[in-house]
Amino acid sequence: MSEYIATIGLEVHCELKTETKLFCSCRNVFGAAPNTNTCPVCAGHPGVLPVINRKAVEYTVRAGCAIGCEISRFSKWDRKNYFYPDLPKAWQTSQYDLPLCIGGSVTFDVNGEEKTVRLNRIHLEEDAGKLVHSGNCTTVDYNRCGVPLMECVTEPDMHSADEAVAFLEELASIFRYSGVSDCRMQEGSIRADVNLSLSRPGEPLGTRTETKNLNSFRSVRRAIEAEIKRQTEVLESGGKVVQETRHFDDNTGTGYGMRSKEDAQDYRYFPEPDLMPVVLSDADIERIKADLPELKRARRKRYVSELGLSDYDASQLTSEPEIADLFDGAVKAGANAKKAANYVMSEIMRKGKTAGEDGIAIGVTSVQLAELLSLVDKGEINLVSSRDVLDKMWLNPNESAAKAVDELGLRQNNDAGEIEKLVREIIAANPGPANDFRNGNEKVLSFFVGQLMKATKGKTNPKIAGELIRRLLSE
Amino acid sequence: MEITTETIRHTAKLSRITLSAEEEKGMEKHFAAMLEQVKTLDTFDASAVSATAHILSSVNVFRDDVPGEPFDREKLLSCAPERDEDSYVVPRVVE
Repeated sequence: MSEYIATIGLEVHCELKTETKLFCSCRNVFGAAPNTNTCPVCAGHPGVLPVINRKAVEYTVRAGCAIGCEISRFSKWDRKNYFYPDLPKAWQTSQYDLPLCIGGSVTFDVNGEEKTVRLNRIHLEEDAGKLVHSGNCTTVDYNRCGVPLMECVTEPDMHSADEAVAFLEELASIFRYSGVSDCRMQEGSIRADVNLSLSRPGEPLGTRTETKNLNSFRSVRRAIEAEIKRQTEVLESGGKVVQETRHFDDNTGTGYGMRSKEDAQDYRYFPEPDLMPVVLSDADIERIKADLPELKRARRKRYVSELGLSDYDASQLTSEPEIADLFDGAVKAGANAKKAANYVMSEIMRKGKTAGEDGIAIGVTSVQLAELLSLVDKGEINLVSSRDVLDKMWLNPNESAAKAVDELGLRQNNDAGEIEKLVREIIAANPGPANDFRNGNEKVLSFFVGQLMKATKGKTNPKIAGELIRRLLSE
Repeated sequence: MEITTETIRHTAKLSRITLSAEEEKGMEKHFAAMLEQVKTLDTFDASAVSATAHILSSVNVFRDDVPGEPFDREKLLSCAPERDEDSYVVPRVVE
């Protein structure tokens, strides 16, 4: 609709899934009663001393290694000063000029094409508390205050909402696979700020605006689309885009300027005197790097090139790291890749997903799954009864598939002699349908299979049953 | 750096403090005197001193990621000028 090109950069905030906060030993959990996970350190009392959580530093470095950042051998902490009740100290402990990770890039597919977005940096900082506005006062909950937060700043390499959302999805998957964050949108554990400007081709970038605190991929998409439209209208009508911080209202689908925050950019950063710098050796970084699992993109490619799966199946299986780990483990334990893929996509994903929730809960181990698939493969149980076995093993890692099959009495009868005797009895008892089959009515076959299943309580191998009935009816 | 009324107003705004015209004047003088005092440092020859991020030399002071005993919420909340049953209460700050 316009000849303007949008240029977009993102600042992505992502909470780390450590047990405790960044500078004190309060628990880092979502959903606790207000202010129950606070202490004098995170509540900003005077005279307290923060101490850095080693794991938060390691997780940030791990995230940096996963996206090819240069890891700083020397990194320090700074105070970012601002007066707002979500931070009781009146400053946020963050990293200014010497962040933990520098550079890096994320490659992903968008609308069938490969795209790479460069990162400028990742630094570690503390999250702020939660404000609830009601009437003429605001109540404050500091449970989230001090939770370790990675801020990932991209270069302005994106040009559409599609690209920004695809980038965010890939980044979230990298962090989930690396095990550093759950990236749960519903819990606000990943949030993004969007910097956006418009320009005509060949001309310098226009004035940018920053839309803050978008907490779902959907909001990011809508906010970008709304801001492109708004800036286009301003420029088309001869106006000028004002550099400002904006807020996007998800209910109305429109953004508005937050003018009262204009001066707040004056953060007066200075070095944090209460925290010592972080020095990392090559050995530290190599150790963290060696711990990195194979990431989503690499796995997806390997499933196609080495295991012969379709790209669709590979993308389904890699949608969550827990699913990919289960699948990989089952194949390693001897399961056929294609069969394991189908089983995971149909049975496991159906069972492990809860509507409206991020992520998946997997209740079987890869060894249990491989064993179950092997029993199906050998004809000892059929696919339908495998569901009961799965139910019995679910959340019970000590239950073996074979034991569950026996306990449930589901083992299929593969004794041809015994089945033949039963089939002969059934044919003798049903001369009408038997004649129909002999006269060419193939459909009657399923009637006999059904009768046999009924007589054996579903424990006959349907393949053997079908062949046998056909042979005996044709005698 | 010269301290002007503008500097004082900007700093007061960042600190959410309202100053009267008289107080602004007083602050101006006060700030200027502080800067004058700090200027003394300029007479020190620091060319042989390397830049540092911290006055102490130790690095990597970490703790393990192990939860501690929960702190008594009531003790913390009782320090607040205003509170309700489970939270701190401040003047409405919504944008």
